[in-house]
Amino acid sequence: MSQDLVTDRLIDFIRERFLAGDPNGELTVETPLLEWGVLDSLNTAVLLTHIRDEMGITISPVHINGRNFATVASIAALITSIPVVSAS
Amino acid sequence: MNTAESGVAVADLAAVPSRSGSLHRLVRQAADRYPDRPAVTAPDGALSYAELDRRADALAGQLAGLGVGRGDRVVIWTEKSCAAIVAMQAVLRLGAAYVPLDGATPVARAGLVARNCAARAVCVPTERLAPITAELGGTVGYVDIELDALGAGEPDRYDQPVGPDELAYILYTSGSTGVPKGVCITHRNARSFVDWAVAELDVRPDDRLANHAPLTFDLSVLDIYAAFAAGASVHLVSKELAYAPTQLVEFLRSQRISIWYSVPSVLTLMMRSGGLLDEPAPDVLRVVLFAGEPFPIPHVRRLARWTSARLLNLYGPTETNVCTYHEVQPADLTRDRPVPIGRASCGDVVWAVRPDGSRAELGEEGELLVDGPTVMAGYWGREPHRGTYPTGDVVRVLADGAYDYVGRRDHMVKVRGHRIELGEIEATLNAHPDVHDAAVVVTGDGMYANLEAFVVPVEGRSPGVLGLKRHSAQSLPTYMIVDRVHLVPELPRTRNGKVDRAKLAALGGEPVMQNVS
Amino acid sequence: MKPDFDVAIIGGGPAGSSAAAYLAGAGMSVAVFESELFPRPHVGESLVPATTPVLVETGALAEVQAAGFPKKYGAAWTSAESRKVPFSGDDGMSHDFQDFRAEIEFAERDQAGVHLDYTFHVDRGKFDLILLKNAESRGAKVFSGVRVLNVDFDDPELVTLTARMGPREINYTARMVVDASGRHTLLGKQLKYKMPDPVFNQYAIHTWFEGLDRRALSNNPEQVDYIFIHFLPISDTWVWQIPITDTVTSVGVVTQKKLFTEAKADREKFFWDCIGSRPDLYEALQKCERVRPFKPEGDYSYSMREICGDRFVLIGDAARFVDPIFSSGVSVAMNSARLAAADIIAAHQTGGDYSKASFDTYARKIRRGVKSWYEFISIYYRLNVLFTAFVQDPKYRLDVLKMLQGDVYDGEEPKALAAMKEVVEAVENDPTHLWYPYLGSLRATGPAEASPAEEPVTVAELAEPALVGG
Repeated sequence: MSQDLVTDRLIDFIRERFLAGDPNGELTVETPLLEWGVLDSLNTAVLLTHIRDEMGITISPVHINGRNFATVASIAALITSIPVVSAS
Repeated sequence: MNTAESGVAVADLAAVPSRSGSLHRLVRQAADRYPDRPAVTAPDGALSYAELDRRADALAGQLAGLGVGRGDRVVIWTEKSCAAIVAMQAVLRLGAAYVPLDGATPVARAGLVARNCAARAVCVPTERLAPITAELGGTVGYVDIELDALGAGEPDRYDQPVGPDELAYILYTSGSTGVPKGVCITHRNARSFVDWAVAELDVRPDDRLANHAPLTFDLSVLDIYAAFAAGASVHLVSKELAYAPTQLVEFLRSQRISIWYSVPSVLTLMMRSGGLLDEPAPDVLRVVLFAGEPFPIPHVRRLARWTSARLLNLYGPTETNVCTYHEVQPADLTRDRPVPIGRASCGDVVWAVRPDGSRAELGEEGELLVDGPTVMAGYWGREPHRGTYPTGDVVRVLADGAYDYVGRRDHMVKVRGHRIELGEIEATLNAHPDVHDAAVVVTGDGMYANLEAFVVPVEGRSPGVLGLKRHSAQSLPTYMIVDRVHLVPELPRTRNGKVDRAKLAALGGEPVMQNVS
Repeated sequence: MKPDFDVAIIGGGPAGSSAAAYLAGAGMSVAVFESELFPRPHVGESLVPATTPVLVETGALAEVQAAGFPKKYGAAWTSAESRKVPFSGDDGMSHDFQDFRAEIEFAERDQAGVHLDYTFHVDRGKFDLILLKNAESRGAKVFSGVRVLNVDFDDPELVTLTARMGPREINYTARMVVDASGRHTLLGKQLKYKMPDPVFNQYAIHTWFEGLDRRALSNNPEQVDYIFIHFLPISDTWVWQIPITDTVTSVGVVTQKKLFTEAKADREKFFWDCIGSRPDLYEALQKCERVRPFKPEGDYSYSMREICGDRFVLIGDAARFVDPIFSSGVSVAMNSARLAAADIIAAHQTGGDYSKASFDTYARKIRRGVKSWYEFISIYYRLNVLFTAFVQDPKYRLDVLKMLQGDVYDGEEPKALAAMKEVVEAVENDPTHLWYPYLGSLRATGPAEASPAEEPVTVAELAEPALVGG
């Protein structure tokens, strides 16, 4: 999956699930998600489940740190660096 | 005597009963000195001191005829009016205690309160006579306060001497479910507060005090009795006006109010929707007091820019009336935090204690304790209160015996393992340019809680969740950033004007981004 | 001199009675010395499926099933990060909220020797009595109300037990002794083998409540009779909720000894203060009637330098106890009885050599099994959100379930364990990790399992429980 596509999917999901639709379109790829309380340890778990179910990529909890989950851009980079594993 | 019946035992009958330290002394004195000066202005008319004095005696005579005497209780269930003020004075002159009930109180509850305090008589306007009689039957006496009690000739004078610890009035908690709690205030309690206010504010005969708060709310005690103590006039704000912003502003100007006292949200309402700031502040307005909840700094700043009146924050639970005060200084206006509650007033002593009971020191937080002449006698029907009163409020110790309000112990919630003061989050949201007002509640299981904000946006603005999160992140730790935001046209309030948090918590859940029109 | 019995067993709880049933069933003469009169109350009320094969083999299952104990089909844990999360269901509609917790059903994984989908939550008074009577029916001689005071090993051919019966002390002899004395750890103390656990030093306080509305606390009607473990926001503290009958529920708070000691005498207040951090549970319990006194349990985490020797074997709690979090206690008791009995019977059948070497297989297997439990327990306390994550991850779920079923004696290290340790280490070393704030305070500093070869021998204070350094 291309990083652009991953990025788009992430933005859609985060806007819908954690920002009540973000009607003002404020979310960008560089929005500091952890700093601004958009993601916390629970939301991140929901996000990981979504990534696993929708993109077939399992991210080990080892990677759930401040650097990887800082922005949509960094999450997308993490995802595309992991070989795709079928979710079955 | 108010001893063993069911109520609060009189603390010290050995204290010499006097007239000079009593609450009813004030009108008598003012009537002697300034008989023709205005005393009360209300929706139903106006009275000079001489008129108030005579009518109070006349009504006292009526009540005496029903058997009301020293140590009894009399319920006054009516809207704000000159008649209500007359009734209060009449009861006091007999050495009895009055129990004010807001006009909006349902008859069943009025009956409940009357029975709870074993009232000897009930004062009501004509239209309530039938319902309350049906409720209480022959167990009490009734007075229709709309009927002119004045007959021909001068009424007898009533001026019962009372001890400082005898009850002046009982304030029942409003809007609560279950058994009502009556806070019993003595003459000493009331006079300590009133005398302090008169001195601190330098109240003079030509002052005109607004009374915005309901008569069941202890803010009204300052309005009414500080006026009486100085021979000034009190101007009652009716229920219809109380939350009508433009009319309130009109009232303030047309009545040439010099001393205004209300909860902060009323002032905010007047600034936002009443056009208070549209015209220069009246010169005559010289003191604005606020109490009851933290006043967000952005609004205080606006007020301070508009008027050169003294701004004072008063603090104290009903059980202690006012026990601390702070006059707003220029330095306060640059802080992020609301104005401090300041240092002790009215002859009280206050201090903060840690959970283990030891004294909190500079910079530390602790629960505020109060001791002194304003501390209530107790709750009706329960053990007399003795000694120190724990306020249940957490404060931070500042230098020079002053305190900062941190929060209600029960507004300090634990969310995800962190102790959080909701007021702090609210203050932060309030500082956002698109936010007019905000309240934060915790929803969900106490431990697994969510922080939900209810935001009243500035006219025409529509702040988004992300923008508010970003703004919060600038001054709050991450765990205090709200999870959900609901845009609402206004915040629900209780009868006392405070935010109705219970209602908000019940509304919480699915995010609501309504169009605010 | 011919000894009175082949095997003397100290203690008639699940370990002792199961051992007695196995041994008597193999034709050995067995005596069980139980100091109390059954039925008597006892902590440790939730079982795991690994107890079922033992119940089958000892013939007690039918009685147990007939007793009407609540059936336990699974377990659920709520962690510090269980919150209501909005989620959209598969039908595209937005549903209300989903509780984010860990839960497992035993039926999800086949377990060797276990043919039932469920196990039981038991009133230990009743359960232990069933097992003891069962042992008696297999031919074991049961002495009730007889307390063994000490065992003499001087004679190389037999053991001599001194037992108090009423006002008198009487000696009994046997070829060997099985110490199933539970947390009294009779031989562990006598032989100075007992070592407090270097990491765990939890205390528990528990009681029974009548009338708890378990339905109100559970989201899912099928889970009403699960065991619930509620982790509290207080460090290393959790609450168990175990159904005992339709109307009675056992509730216990497990926490650090330090907090317990600070509470001093007011145990009841301490209990409610802890429960208070779970307002839903607190409110539900306030409506109930407490039908037993609050019972404290402490100093229950320890190991033995040796669990067998010439003419003796330690089984059940008398050999090892860690922590009640995964309900392993009764299972370890009964399975250690099974494994020890196998070695004892083999020794009996090959000439009666009850020297230490005869029990090697038992010692090895039980230590390995308990080691698995121990590591999972450590990880649970260290980072319980990790536990939730692994239970919900399809790759590891069954592995975790295997451990929770008590299926730990086959000698394979669970794959999930290695993966979990890796995550714990990553989190511990990365303060920016989102789970870093959730690290618990219990942290193993030494080897989890004491074995004579590896561990420097330190003889700890045994008569009184010692305070353990970090």
